[in-house]
Amino acid sequence: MNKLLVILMFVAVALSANAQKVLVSGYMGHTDYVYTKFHTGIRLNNPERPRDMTERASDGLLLGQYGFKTENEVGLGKAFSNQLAVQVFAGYNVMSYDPVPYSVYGGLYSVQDLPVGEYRGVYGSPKIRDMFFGSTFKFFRRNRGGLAPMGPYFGLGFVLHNDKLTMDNMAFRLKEPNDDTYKPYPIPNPPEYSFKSFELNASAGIVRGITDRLLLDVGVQTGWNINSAYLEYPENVQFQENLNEGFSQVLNRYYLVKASASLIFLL
Amino acid sequence: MLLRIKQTIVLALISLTAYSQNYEYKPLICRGSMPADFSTVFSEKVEQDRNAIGTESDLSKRHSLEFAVMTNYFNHNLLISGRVLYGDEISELSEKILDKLLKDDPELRDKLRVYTVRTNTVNAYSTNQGIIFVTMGLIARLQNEAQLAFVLAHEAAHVKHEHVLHSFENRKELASRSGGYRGMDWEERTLKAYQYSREAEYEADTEGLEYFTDAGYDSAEIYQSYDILIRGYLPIEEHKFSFAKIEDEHFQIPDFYKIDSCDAIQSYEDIDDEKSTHPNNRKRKEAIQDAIKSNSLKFGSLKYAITDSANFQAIQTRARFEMVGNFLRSNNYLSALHHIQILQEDYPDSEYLKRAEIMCWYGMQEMSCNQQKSDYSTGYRDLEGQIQAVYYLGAKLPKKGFNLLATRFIWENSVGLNDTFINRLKQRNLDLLAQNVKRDFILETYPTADTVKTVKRKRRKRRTDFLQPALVELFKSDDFAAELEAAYVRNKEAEEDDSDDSEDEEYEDLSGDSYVSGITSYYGLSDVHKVIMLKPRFFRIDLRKPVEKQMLQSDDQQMDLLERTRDLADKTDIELVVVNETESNEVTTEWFNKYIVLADWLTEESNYEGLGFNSFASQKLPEVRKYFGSDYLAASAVWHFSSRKPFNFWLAVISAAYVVPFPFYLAWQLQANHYMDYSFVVFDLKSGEPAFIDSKSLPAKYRRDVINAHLYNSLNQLSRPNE
Repeated sequence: MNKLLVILMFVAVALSANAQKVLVSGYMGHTDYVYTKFHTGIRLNNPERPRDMTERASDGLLLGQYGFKTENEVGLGKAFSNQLAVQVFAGYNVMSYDPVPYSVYGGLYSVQDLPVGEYRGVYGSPKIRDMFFGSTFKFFRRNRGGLAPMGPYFGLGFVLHNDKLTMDNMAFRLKEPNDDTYKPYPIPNPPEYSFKSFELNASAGIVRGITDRLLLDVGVQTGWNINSAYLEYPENVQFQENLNEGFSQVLNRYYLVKASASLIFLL
Repeated sequence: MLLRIKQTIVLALISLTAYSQNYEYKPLICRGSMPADFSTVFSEKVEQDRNAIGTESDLSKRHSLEFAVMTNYFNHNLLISGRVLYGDEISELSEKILDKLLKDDPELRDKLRVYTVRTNTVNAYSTNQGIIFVTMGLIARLQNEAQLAFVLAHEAAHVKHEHVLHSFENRKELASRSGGYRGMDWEERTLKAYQYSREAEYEADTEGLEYFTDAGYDSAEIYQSYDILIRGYLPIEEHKFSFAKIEDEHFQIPDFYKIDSCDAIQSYEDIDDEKSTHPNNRKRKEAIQDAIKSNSLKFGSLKYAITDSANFQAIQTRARFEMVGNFLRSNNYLSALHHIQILQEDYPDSEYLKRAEIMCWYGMQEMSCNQQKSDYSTGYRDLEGQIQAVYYLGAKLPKKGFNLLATRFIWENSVGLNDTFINRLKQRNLDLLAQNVKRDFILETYPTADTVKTVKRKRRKRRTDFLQPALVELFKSDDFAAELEAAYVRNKEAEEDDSDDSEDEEYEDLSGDSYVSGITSYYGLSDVHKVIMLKPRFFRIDLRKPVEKQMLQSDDQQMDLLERTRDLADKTDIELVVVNETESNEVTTEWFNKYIVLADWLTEESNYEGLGFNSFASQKLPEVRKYFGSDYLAASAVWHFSSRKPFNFWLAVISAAYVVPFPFYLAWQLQANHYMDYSFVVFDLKSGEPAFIDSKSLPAKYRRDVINAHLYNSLNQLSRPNE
């Protein structure tokens, strides 16, 4: 039997002239699917969620503090061939960052503008609301048994991020001259920035069948932030540069490595 | 006086009738209801055996599992392979002989059953479960019932003394150097193990002797049966191969192709049996004589107790005809040719033999054109006796020779055999001839034989010149000349088509299928909604695990794969007729006999590594297609192979030196190597060619969902509507 099968492989090439066009079977006949995806990426000193005004921000870069950021997305997918599936997706994510040293805020609001006392950093952290849309092309590896949308794959994707950065949950940390304790003081007229960034990413993973309709996709992803956010603040060039550099760091570090898990429901 | 004359005339008439009768060979088939050995699932057999062994043997739990699995796995697969018959004339006669032999031992008799193995090997063997297998090769050679009775008595004694089980226990002791093997080196242990096996043979001989004696059989036949067993490698009779059949007044085979003298048949009576599981013939005969003397055994003089000479000869003749089919199935054309000539001495008008002989020449032509000549024509030096002459011719004859001789033989001998199979074979024969022998080589000599000498004189003599007149007689038929010319025209057109195709175009032809690093997808069928299917095979080979566990796992997975195939076929609107699922009530004896035809066909086809082959078994395919109601046969298999990764010393050293990569190295090193192979093939039984192939050889771990996906894909591609 085994010998027969080996022979047949060679025979197939000779027969190829009469071959029919390949039908896209998908997984158990399903080529379309919806999915929900959970990402987690490494963060260094950037908090997962924005801190509120009761939490003190770090004073300067605190390397060595690391954890995970998470984000969620939902999407639609379709297998266009036995090797290619295309997904479109959207997601909403709130995050923050905390690379901003004292000088940033110091530049933004000089001490003499503040009502009283001694300034020692801030409470809270900038809030970034990220609404993203994108598409991923997943190439299923036929020489590892892949048959879209199931099996091991490589993916290429692009994501358009619409971000909004606000500071309304932040406060200065101040001490009145005759007081020993620091207190929060709301930032007057907190700035708000909207910007777009574009991410290119590559991914690899494996999609496994749980049932005939439910699949699990686990993988890793790495991405590059093509055009970093540019937050304009013409009144203070130094502040503007620091802000932009800090924010780019946040995005790049976050995009660098992500692990993801998706539940795929076949339609 | 008058009476004597009348008797003489009647006898003469009978013998003349017998000689001239057109012997209607009917193949041996299964009869009666299917025995439990065929219809019981493998895991149940293992469980039954484990329970039985547990009460009878000191084997540990693990070893009793190993024994039950190992013995049942191979026997089970043999039983359902289509190579074993039940209820046929040979099995039936053997059962009756056992009734007689064991009339005083009903307990042992109840345990035994006999099946016939469709092989030309001369052998009989028994299993611990009480199955006795006798081969067709043995029956074809035994001369009378008494000889068969002794073979069966011997095997019955093996079962009674559970020699298979004890031999296994003995091997375990040998492997662990315990019991009687303690303190011995390898050589000593091996020799002792052989000795143990030989002692079991002596025991079976002497015990069998008692059954044989009690039944009243003639003791002289014991010695004859030993001789037959030892000469089992020889043809059924010593027969001088006749070249006359392939020669005529125009065409003679030169002496170069005829062996000067064949090697004499050796006597292996007294070979060194120190490293043999069986004692040599001389010792066995002496032991029998000793046993007769010491037990004062008195023999009867029966050569036949159950049947008579005529009936036994009829069964033997059928076995001999079966041998021809067995040879053809394994592409052993030269042996088949030799045996056909032997049988034609008695049955010159047999249509079956005529067809088989045509098949031999056609098969050799196909194989030689497909560079597979070595499959059937090697090793004439290792043979003895007259059969050497046939193998010598086969080894020496060039490809051109096979083409011309096959053409000559097929066209001359197919007169009166005008059916689809023969016509396809003739057509294919001429196509091969046109592809492999230049038109000028044939046509410069024809149409008249007189021109041969003239042509030969004109140019340098070649070794193949003797072949030029091979087709002279055939050219007397206008039909043949026209058919040959048409074949050359077809061949020329095909060559022109091939030369027109650029390399790029060939690649374009591959649209819709692929051949990429172990992946073959050829979807040449669509809109198929009923398929005959062989039970999917699943092989799990994991070198890190004990063999018995792999076998059990394979069987479990195989059952699961069958169920999944059925489910997915339902989803894709395909009706599956699983032909060899003997556990199913659906499979009747008639059904099983049709499956045997398919198994034969598949075996014969698989020996040919190309397209366009017309197998001998394909003659029976129309009736199988009609019976199962489908023109397509599907076969699928999954292999999964795992092994430990070889230790990489330098990688270990380097990673350990840098500390950080070491855990990653360790994780990599501890992971096994995996390899998986999935195949789904559908044959078009009308053309006999594979028409749908989906095959993946992947360096990946076995995943159930991956196989599900590919299986669904295969079935989906098969059933989709015609575009």
